[in-house]
Amino acid sequence: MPELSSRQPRVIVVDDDEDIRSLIVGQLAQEHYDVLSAGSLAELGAAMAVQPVDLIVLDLNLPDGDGLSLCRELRSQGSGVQIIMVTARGGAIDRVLGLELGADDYLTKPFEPRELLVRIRNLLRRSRSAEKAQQKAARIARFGSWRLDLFQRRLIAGDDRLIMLSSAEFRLLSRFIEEPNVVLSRETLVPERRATAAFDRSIDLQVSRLRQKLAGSPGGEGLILTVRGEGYVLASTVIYE
Amino acid sequence: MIIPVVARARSFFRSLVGQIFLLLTVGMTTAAVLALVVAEQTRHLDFERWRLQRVVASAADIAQRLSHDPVRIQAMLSDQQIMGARIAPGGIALTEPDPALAAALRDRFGPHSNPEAGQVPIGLCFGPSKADPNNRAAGLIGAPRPDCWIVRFTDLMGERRSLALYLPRLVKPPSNLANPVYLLLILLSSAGLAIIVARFVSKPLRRLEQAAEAFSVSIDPEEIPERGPEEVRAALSTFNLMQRRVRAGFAERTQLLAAISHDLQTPLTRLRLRLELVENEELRTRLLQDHQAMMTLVREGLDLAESTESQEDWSVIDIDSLLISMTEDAQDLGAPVRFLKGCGGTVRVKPNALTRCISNLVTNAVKYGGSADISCARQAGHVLIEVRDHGPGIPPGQLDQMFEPFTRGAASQPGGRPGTGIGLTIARSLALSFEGAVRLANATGGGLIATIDMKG
Repeated sequence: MPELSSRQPRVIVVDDDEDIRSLIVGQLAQEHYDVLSAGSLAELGAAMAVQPVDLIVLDLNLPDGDGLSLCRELRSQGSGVQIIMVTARGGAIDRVLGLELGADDYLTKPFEPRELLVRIRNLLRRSRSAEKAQQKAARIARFGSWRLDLFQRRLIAGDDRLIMLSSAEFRLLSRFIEEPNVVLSRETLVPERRATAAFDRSIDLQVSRLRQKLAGSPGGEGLILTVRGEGYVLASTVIYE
Repeated sequence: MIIPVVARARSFFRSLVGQIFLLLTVGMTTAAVLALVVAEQTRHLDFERWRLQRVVASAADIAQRLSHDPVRIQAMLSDQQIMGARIAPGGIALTEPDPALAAALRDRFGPHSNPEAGQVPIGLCFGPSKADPNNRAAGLIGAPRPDCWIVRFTDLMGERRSLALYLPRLVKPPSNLANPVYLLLILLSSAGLAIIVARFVSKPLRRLEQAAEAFSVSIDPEEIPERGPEEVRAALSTFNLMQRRVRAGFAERTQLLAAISHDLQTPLTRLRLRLELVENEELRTRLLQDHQAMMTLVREGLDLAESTESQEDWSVIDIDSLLISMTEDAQDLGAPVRFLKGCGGTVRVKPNALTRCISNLVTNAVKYGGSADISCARQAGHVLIEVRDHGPGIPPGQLDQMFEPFTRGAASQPGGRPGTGIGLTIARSLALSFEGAVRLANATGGGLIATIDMKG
C-alpha cells in the first residue's frame, strides 16, 4: 500500500459506457483525485501494470469479462486495492456475492454522485491492515453460540434460527465484535452521538435490547457485560469464518 | 360432542368420496336385498308347486288303484289301510278351493273329471279322533301334524270320488331375508367395497386438487407426476401443461419488465451524472425530482421482476425479532410506526422476501394512512402479520383492484397520491414466493388492514 499522504490517491473508473465513465471521471477530478479510466478489463490490467492504483470503481458488466471474477482474482493475488462495485443489477444476491468476493463497497446504478464520492472518501481514509482484510473477506463472525452474518446483517442462533437485527443493533453489535474483550465506552459505541453519549439513555436501551436477543440462545446471557462507569464489553472471543 | 360429529359427517357426505360411498353402499345393499327377495319368492313358489305335485301324485295313485280293483280299494280306504289317503268325511264344504291344484288335477284326469280341491284343517280330514288331543306321547307334543287336502273328481267310470289326502307337513326352511346377520354382512361388504372404490376414484382427483392448490399459492410449484388410469393421466398432463404455460407467460412478462427496467438504468445514471452540471438551481431541482420519480419506477419494476423469481433459501426466523427490528429501523428514520403485539416462536420463510413484503406494506400504510401499527397473531396453524393504518381506508369495491399494478386508490382522491402503484403488487408477489398471501380489509374503527397470511 503506497503512503497515501505523500501523493494524491489514484482512482480508476472502469465502465463500458463512455459517457458514464467520463462523467464520473469529471466529478472525481473536482475532488482532486488522480483519476484514470478504463473501458474493459484489458484496459484496466494495462493501466494497473503501469502505475499502482488505490481504488477501483468497478462496473460488473464489461465487454471482455465479469467484474466479479476480476474482483476474486485480485484478492487471490493478495492485492489490497479498494474496490467499489457499481452495477445495474442491484439484487441482494449480487450484493452478497460482490462483498463475499472481496469488494469493499457496493453501489447500484443509478446512484447519487455525492453518495459515490462519500464512499470513495471513506474507503480511502480507512487503512487496509492485513487483519482488516481478513475480517472484510469473512462473512460470518462467531461468538459464543451465536453467529453474525456480516453481509445479510442477521444473527444466527446455534439451532440455525435467524434473529433479525435493527440497523442500530447491528451497528452496535458490529462495534462489539470488532473489539471483543475490550471495554467500550458509550462514546466509542455510538460515535454519531458522541456529544450527548454520556447522558444518552437510548444507548443503554439499545444494549439491553441486544442483550435480550442474545439471551435467546444458550450461554447468551453473559455475553455483553456492563462495566460500571466505563461502558460495556463483549466477553467472548470472535472467530471469523 | 354431537355437533362436531354431525358437521364432520355432513362434510364427508358432501365430498366425492362420501357421495360415492353412499351411492355404492345403498345401491349394492338394495340390489343384494332385491336379489334375495326374488330368490326367496322363487323358492317359495317351487316349494308350493312341489307340494301340489305330491298331492296330485297321491290322487292319481288312488284313482289308478280304484280303477283296477274298485271294491277292495274302496274297502281299504274306508278302513284307513292306506297311508296318506282315505275317504273324505261327508258334508265338508271347500271353503278355500285351490285353483292351482284343481288345474293340475284336470291336466291329469282330463276335463271330464271336473276336479275340486282345497286344503282343509287337519281335524276335518280325520274326523273326530278317539284319542284325547291332549293325551299324546311326548315325542308328538309340538310335532307338526300332517297337512290335509280334500280332492273331489269324477273318475273314468263316472263315479264321483271324494278323497282326503294327507302329507306329512313339510316345513319350509326359514327365509334368509329376515336374518340380521345376513343383512349386516351385505351392508358391511357393500360399505367396504364402496369405500375402496371411492378412495380409488378420488385419489387422482385429490392429487390434482393438491397440485392446483400448490399452484394457486406458489408461482413455481412442482409438476405432478402423471400416473394412474388413462383419463386421470390425461387430466394431469393437461394440468401440467397449463401450469407450464402460465409460468412461461409469467416469466416472459417479468423478463420484459426486468429488461426494460434494467436497460433504463444506464441512461438514468448518465442523466443523473449530467444533472450535476446543470447550473440553474431551480431547473436542476425540478429535473432531479423528475429523475427521482423515474428512478423509483425503475427500481420498483426491478423489484417486481425479482420478486417473482426469488431464489432465496428458506430459513427459520424468530418472527418477533423481525417485526421489532423493522419497527425500530422505521422509527429511527422518523416514521410513525408502532409494534403492537408479537406472536412468539419461529416461522419458516424466505427472510428477505418477507422483510421486503412487510416493508412495502408499512411504507404504504405510512404513505396513504399516515401511520402503521404492526402486530402478529397465530391462528389455526397460520401466522397472520397485520399492518394497520388509521387513514381513510379504501372503498370495499376497490379492495381487490388494489393489487393490480399501477393502481393507486380512487383517481378522484384529492391531492393525488404519490407513488408508483406497484408496491402492493410486489408485496403480493413476494408473499407468493414464500407461499403466503396478502389481503386487504377496512378496519372497523377506520383505516386499512393489510394482512400477510402464511403457514406457521
